[in-house]
Amino acid sequence: MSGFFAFFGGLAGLLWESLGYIARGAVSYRHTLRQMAEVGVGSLFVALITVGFSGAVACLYIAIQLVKLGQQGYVGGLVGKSIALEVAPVITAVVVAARAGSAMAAELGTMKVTEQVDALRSLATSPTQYLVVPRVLGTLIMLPIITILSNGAGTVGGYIAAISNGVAPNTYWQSVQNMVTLTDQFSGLLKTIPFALVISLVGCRQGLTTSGGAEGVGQSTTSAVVYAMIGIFVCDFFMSVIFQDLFY
Amino acid sequence: MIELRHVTYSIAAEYSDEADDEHHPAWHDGRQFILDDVSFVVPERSITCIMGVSGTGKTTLLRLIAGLLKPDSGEILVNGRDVVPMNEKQLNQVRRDMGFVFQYGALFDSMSIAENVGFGLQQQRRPCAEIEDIVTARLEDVGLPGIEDKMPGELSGGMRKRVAMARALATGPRIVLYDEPTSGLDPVMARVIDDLVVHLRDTAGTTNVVVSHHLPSILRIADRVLMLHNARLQIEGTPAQVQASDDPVVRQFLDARADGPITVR
Repeated sequence: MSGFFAFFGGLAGLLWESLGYIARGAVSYRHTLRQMAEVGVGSLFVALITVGFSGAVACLYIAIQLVKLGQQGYVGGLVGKSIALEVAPVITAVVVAARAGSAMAAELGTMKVTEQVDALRSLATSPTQYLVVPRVLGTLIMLPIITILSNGAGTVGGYIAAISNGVAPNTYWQSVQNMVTLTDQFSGLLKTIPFALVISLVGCRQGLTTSGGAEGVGQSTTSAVVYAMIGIFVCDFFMSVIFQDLFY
Repeated sequence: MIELRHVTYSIAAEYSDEADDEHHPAWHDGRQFILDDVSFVVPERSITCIMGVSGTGKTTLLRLIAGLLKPDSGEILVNGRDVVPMNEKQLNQVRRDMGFVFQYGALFDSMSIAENVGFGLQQQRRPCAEIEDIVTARLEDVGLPGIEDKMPGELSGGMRKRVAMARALATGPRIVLYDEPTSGLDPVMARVIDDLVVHLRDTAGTTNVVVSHHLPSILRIADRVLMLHNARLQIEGTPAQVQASDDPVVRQFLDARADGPITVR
């Protein structure tokens, strides 16, 4: 039980400290740009592929049923809504957690066990300011951008599956335009904020608390991905409930 | 000046035969005492060497002085200010005047040697030209000119340690903590490093704490020598006083004998 409180206490402490540095403008833009590249370049291609195919699969099931019922006019809208609200933000976050969150835990974990984090402190530099803040900001900036792009990939993936199953191209896009609202897009994007915080803070926290050499780094990396994924799905549920009350 | 007053530091004990031995001096109440009621003074502009067998808390002592660890109890005064109750921000003020040479270098893997050595200066927002000059000078001091563009992975263990020393000295600290600065170095380079420590004390007036196993080095450079054994201070004095000691623990260590009160586990 003490480990549970230590974990959430550590996350809250890192968040509070990071927000303090961001509020004071004590941010290294060079390092933030580097982290944006790490998160973005590393995850974009995988996110486009996974969300694109997820959109295609979702559309496959929806199109087959609705075409049978003669309701192909709803295919694009239903697929677009599910991608914008759920598939794109969640799968993109999972991809970024697996790709970038694990890299954060591994890099910071290695720095911890080789005393580089202590070296930073001995040089009067806060590890939170120097290591955590750029990673939090990099993820906060890049996750929505990757989500927007993967949202597009998912909708196109759905389009390909739809026209392969007898839905007319114009009908698909018309349905997307009619049914997928700006509120849907906004709701999906809003989810990426807590997702980005979960991914970056869990990755950094697990890295900075690493002990025990190479084995410890491996454990931190694995736990960073597992905890971040759990966090993403729990946040997703509560955000969805809140959005239903607020927007729908 | 650095002063430790009744400093105790312990960690949660894992199971071992020692933990079951209630008479063992370094174990009480299921905790392993790394340091138990240790007090001493490091005078200004001096070189104090701390010796002792592996695992006696020498590195822990340095980390406590630098504020990287908090003791269970006691006071650690650095230039008259107790670092124990300080938060990280206050500690950073103290650390700006302190250099720490880590045992294995702890160089930043993702940075070049020049970036490593100039890191502290960069954080102090010094002009680039000044940083370049200081980096070049410090690398020359440790016998490694012209390696600014190399990466830490391209260097040997001894070279990494010397770069770490250059990094610690780059900001011109008044207090320097060395964790085994000459271990793993050849005799010639060990002598160069020893001479540099003495030179810094004599010219820049640095206060130095050197953790070392290397007896010839300790006896050559130290103004004062401390020996830690079983979490306590076994002896404190000038190199001559320590060498003349008839304490069996000190004698066994100085004579490098396997038999004696120091048990090897």
